[in-house]
Amino acid sequence: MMSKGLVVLGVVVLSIVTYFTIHSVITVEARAALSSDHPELIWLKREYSLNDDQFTKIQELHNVHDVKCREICRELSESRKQLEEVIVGEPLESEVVQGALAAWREQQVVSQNSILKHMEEVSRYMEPGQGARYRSNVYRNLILSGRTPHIDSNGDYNSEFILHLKR
Amino acid sequence: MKDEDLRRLFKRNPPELPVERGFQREVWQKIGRRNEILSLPFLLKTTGDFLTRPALGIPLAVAAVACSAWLAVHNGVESRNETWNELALSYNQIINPINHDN
Repeated sequence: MMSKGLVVLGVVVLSIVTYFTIHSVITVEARAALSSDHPELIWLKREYSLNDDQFTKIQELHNVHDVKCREICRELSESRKQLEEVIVGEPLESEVVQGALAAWREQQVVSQNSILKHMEEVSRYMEPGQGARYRSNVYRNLILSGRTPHIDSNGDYNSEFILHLKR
Repeated sequence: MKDEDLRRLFKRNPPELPVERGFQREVWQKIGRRNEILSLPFLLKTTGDFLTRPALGIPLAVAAVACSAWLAVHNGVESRNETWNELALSYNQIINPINHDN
């Protein structure tokens, strides 16, 4: 009875050890990325197969962009607050609302231009194919962001097609 | 009702129909076996019996480890992909001032 119990225990322990060993090997890279200082940049390095030199250059560009990004963010926040203050109480055609709208739109353009510039600079340090893929990712997700409910999976306008919000 | 009470009840009220010899013993043995099936030692013993027979035990042990390995690959790949997808979204957010603003 004792030896049979040990055999069962042995198989259970072996199964558990197998599970955790394989799981750990598969997830080791992702776990290492999460515990680093900049997990997103580790993702970038892996996703676009960057070598150490390319990664160092892109990291420097990222740090410079991050400072600009925060400044643009602060200005965006201010222009949005100014617009919110006037748009609820003043007529749309009034000078004050039009001025606030123009300032807010200008900040949107500044923001998009900063992303485009960063996209261009970063992609220059990548291999040509990877750079094109990076540009496509940034363009689709950040420049063309927003819902286009009648654009089908081929990117064509289709009045019958409706993209519903995913929950 | 305790077993002793049941025995006394049987003695006081003998069955009217003729009962085969050893009938009561068989009934108690069946009840005993049913209780035994649900116990951990019985399960361990039965599994142990299977595992210690090479013809059954080796394939069973290999199947258990293989299932565990399959589950680990499935969960590991899912967990890894989820992490990379989250980091991809996170990267897009940190380079976008509009997302900083939200």
